[in-house]
Amino acid sequence: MGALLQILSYGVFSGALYGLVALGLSLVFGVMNYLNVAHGALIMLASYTVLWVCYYLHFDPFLSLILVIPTFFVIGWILFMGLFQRLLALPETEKLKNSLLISFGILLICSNAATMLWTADERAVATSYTGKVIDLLGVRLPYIGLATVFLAIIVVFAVHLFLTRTYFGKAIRAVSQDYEAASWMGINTSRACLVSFAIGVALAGFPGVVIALQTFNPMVSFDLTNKALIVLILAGVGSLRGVLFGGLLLGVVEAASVFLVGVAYREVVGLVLFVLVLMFRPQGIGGRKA
Amino acid sequence: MKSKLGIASFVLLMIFAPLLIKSEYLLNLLILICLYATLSHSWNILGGYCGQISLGHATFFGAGALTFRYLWLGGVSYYLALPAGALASLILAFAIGFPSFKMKGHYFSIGTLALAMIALITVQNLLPGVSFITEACLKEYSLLTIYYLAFGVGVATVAAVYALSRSKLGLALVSVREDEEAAEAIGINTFKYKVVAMSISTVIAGFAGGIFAFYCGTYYHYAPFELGWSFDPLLIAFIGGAGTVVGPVVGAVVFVLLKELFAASLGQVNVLIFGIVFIVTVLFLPKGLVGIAGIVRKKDRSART
Amino acid sequence: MLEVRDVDVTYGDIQALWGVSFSVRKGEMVALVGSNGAGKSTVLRTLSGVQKPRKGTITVEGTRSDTVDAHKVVELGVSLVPEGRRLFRDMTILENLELGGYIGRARKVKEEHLEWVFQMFPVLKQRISQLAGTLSGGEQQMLAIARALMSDPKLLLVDELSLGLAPIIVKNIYKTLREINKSRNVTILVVEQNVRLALEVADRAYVIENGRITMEGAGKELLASEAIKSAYLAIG
Repeated sequence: MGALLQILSYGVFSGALYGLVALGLSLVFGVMNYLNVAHGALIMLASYTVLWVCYYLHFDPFLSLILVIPTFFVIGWILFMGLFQRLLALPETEKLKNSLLISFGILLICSNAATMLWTADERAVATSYTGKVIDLLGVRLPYIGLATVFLAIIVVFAVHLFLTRTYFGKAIRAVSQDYEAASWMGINTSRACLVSFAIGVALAGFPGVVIALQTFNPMVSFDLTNKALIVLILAGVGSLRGVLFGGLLLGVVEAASVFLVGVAYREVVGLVLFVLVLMFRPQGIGGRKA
Repeated sequence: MKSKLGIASFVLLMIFAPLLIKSEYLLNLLILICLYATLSHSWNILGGYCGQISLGHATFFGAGALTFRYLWLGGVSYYLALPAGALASLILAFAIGFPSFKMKGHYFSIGTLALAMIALITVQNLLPGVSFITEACLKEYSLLTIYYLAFGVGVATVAAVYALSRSKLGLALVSVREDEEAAEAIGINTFKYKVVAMSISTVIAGFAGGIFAFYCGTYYHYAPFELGWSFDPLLIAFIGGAGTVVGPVVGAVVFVLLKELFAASLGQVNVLIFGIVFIVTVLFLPKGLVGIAGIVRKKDRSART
Repeated sequence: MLEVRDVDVTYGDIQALWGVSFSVRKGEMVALVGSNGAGKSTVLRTLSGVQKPRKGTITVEGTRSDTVDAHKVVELGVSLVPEGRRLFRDMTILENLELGGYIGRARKVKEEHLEWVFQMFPVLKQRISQLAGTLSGGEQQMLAIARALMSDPKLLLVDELSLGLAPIIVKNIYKTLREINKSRNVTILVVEQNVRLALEVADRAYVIENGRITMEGAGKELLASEAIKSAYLAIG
């Protein structure tokens, strides 16, 4: 029983991370139908950024978010203006295909550039609380895991508030539902897409911090993109709270599969679930039909 | 007529060149070019002509490699093992390829990526070790033989794609690519044609996998299943010109040469450069490098009038 | 207040509008009628800014509107009630209305406009937290009109409001539109397939056929004209 709870707790912690990983991707896809498969690479870059900020400025990793989030907002802004904005005018299928391809190119460029600049060595940010745990009823709960869950809840809640309580947030939702109709409301739709994309990239900072506290190297870009895609599909398009649940579902499924089929095939179970959902319920658990 | 003569003489040249220029280095390059061109065309048929962008073609490449290797190391001669590998890929296509068409559009892309990852992890766990070439097979190993095999498969592939591009089948595939709904509306059974495209595609991928297994002396069993083998053909086809006959060949030449150029660098500079060229191509050159010729011709024409 | 001069609109190689010219004076309620595919919706899409004309000019109270983005056209005071309503289905009535009043100057008078709109369409107030996608056809049309009014428009464009609605509901909505026109002095341009209804309700009307304006006149006159009667009213 204790072992089961322990495994479930790990599932929850990694699930919270997966939710954070998928958040930015989900936002961008929901608003403008761009599948940014480079998202994993952006998270990887965020992790490296956290690494250098902590190394040179001696910040606590979570504190470094103050610098990392705005930085990546700007990076997202530049990426959109430079590469993705011109896709807005294309018809839907072309838009999706081209955004997929371009972000794919960015994924390759980023992961290779990172390897060239910083080598493929494993990195991690060590803190005073790395490895520390709380013992609750015989279950070991790592500080960082708890912080991740906490962070995930706060971030999702904050984004939710932004989208439902602010004019601009509502405008973004409007754009995601009906691009043309949104422009008839006086909403500057291309600006809305730009800001959404920038926010989506900025959101990579949060999982970036958590990843930085584990070991990482440039190749995590692919793993993270993978996870983000799986959670995106599980959660369904347009459902932000679904992202959190989708992440948790994936985390728990993976944790349970370690119990059942062993560590080696842990990822496979998640992937199989993913493919099945793609085939039979692509709109996911929470979402409307894409 | 002129172009046919040109092609014939080119083919003849490629057949006799290695006999005249005794360079192992050249042979290696040519084999790689043929390999990548073949695999890219395999992707091209499904992705370029039929519009179904697969991000997991390594699965079929790997299946072909695995089957060939198993048979060849087990004593079967390579000219039987090669088509066996292709057949294995086709069978795999029945198992997971055709059902994957249940996923439409971009879902197909990420779904094939997931399938490729499943295949990779499974093989990594089932066959974690290295595949060593046996004594008996080492005796059979001849770069020249491999080259002719690779070249033969390559030429056959290009010929097949050429025939496809001129046929009604090719037209049907393109119509599926352009507008699936419209194609359905005019009576084209899009599923059937996607299946046909994938069948041809996976058979060719299987052949390519066999060539890989024949060519590489020693490698990790899971090597042909790695992500790179899914991504590289895609890049090559796009940069050269997706949906064309010449494109993937041109792309393969550029790719292999770039690889050679940066062979000693960390992190695969060639992929970095390729990634940049790829983005530029998607944004500005939808027809790839092959399309540049078309643009130049158009400018020429408008300048004259 | 609206001047459309010699406008050509093409969709790629296909020309939809040929030298379209008409005007709407302040305070008027003008109808643009014609059969399916005549180009009526194209006219409204061009007026709303999502479609740019290849030739010609469109001026709203002296300012050119054909050269600006769609969201800026709203700021010029032109608001569209789109064909098919195009509500934000996953958002509540209140959220739809708030989005209607997105532009700066409308946000300032949001409460006042909400009151006005609820007065006109009380059912919207009743269902204020309901998702727009769950409303009935008539309620959706009312919401679409209310949403367009939230931006404090000088010119309201209404595209095919009768489509898919029961005649009695359509009649009532047109009655409300007339009231809005008279009491708040909102200039209205309606595009309608139901020719008789449009001509009865409007002060003036234009007839568009195959992308060209073919007739013009006061509503009652056109209603009585032989040409209209035989072509559109199936009489004679």
